Amino acid sequence: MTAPSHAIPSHHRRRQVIVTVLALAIGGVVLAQPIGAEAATLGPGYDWHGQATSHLGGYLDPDGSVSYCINAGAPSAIGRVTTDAGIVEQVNGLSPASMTQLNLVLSRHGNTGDDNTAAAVAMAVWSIAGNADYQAEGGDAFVLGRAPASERAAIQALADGYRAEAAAYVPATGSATMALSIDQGNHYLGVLDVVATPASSAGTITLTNAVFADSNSPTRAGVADGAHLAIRGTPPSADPYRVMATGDFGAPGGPAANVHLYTTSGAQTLTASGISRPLAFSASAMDAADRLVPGVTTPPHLPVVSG
Amino acid sequence: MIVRRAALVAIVAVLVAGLGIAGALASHPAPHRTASQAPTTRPTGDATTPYHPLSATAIAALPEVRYDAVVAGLAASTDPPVNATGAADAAYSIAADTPIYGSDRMTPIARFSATNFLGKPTVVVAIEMDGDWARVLTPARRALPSQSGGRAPAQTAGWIRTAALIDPVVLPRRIVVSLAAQTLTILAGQSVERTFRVGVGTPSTPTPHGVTGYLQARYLDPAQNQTRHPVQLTSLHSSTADEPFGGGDGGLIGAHYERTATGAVSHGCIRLSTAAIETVNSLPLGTLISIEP
Repeated sequence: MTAPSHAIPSHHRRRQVIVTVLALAIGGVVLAQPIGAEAATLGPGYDWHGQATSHLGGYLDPDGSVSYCINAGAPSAIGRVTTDAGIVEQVNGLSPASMTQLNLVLSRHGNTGDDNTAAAVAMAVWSIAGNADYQAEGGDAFVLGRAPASERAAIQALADGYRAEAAAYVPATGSATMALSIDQGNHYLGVLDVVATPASSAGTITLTNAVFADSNSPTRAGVADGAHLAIRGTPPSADPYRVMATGDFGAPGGPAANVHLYTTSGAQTLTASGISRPLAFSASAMDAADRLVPGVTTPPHLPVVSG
Repeated sequence: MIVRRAALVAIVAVLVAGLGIAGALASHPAPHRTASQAPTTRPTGDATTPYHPLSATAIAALPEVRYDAVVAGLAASTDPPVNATGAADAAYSIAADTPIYGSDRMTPIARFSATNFLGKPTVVVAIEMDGDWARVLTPARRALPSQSGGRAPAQTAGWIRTAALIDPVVLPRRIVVSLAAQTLTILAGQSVERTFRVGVGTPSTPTPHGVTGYLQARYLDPAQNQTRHPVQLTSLHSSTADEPFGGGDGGLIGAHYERTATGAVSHGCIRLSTAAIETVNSLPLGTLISIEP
């Protein structure tokens, strides 16, 4: 006796196979698309006789940013599939310094809706990212032909300005110094002075053997340049002691050596502004001399004037 | 007969002589002095009176003239008045705790401690020199306004032995505050060096006037929000309130930094701008400060 057949009838099996194959095909097609891939579209700038393939300016990316070609002479990315490759620290074999200059121009001027600005940024980007290829394609004189004659001088001036700005850029650095002073009339008291650059710096200070007089806390956040903070010693014992202060500071910083990359197979590679790298630095200070602990366990009372 | 005549003559002579003596006595009555009369023209403890130094124990038993003390025997500094031209040309220290005497220069009533509340040498300002004696200003009160009909001297004085004064510090300048003009002026002799606009007491918490005190100490105090410019503690006190601002330190009149440093805005203190406090802070302790109406 044969076991009851639970097998699926053959016509049903064929239908299942067909559905499965179709599902796999559709899913496979979906899975085969690059993540975030869409076609870049024309952004601000100018086109030679309306031809999108001869564009002087930026391209609009799916995320709304404006990107720029770094491969002068490569086919246009319009109409092709562009993939968002994210933040990268290296394109076209550029040095970190050149990457910083590229990000500087893109960050400060690239996200624009102005045609002249976009055209100038494109010219500056080509000269930073691949000047040899750019010059081989004819350089500024060639690409400016895509812009109206009335705008070419203005675009050239902007481009020259962006190049000079990038070449002159010195990455921001931060530093801080702190100094502790002792009130010679009362060794419990003193002041912590902070000097930090840039002026936008802010830090968190931690005291050892002392607290900030107005908060009674050994830590304080958001300490800015020029802070003059009263402290009160908290001696660990009856022996002479010193107060120490450590500070961790930060500041906004500037463009880092990276860009946002968009790749198009067989066509121009596009770049948009990258990210900035905040500054981080530290400082410390210690009493130059010992603080003496008087015979009383609490700081002596100071006369309170009428005010 | 002759004997009777001689006797009569003798009797008459005796009577006449007796009348003459009685008359002479009647024209020069015996002196009368009440126990309540006291000498007023000259202290009894002057240069001719031997001075007997007190023992250390006796000195230690005397009340200390601190900023928060009330010592009844001290004189008001306007009795006699301080020389308005700035008699104090130097401030001194003292080598040891020093007794302070009353106006009679015989009764010790208080003492200066050699060091003050900051542990620094006490500043002593002499406003009159009389041989071996110096009249000095003190930082204590002699009475509370609440116990004196609502008004008490803002500044006190006493006498110490001149020999106790050591380490003179020249005082080339003095401070004059005008409540009416709300100004503080730095004078070198009679020459005006600088004048600042300042804040003074409100009508209900007035700054004392018609009085001269001195800068007795200076210090930073986070509890009073004074962390950048030291409080300039004077020897003066409120003359109308025990404590115009509460607390228990004795209605102290100071000169200190305040962001709002103009107008009748304080509890008696002199409120100063940054420029003013930095100038005052540069003056030696002991510098006289006179407050005019």
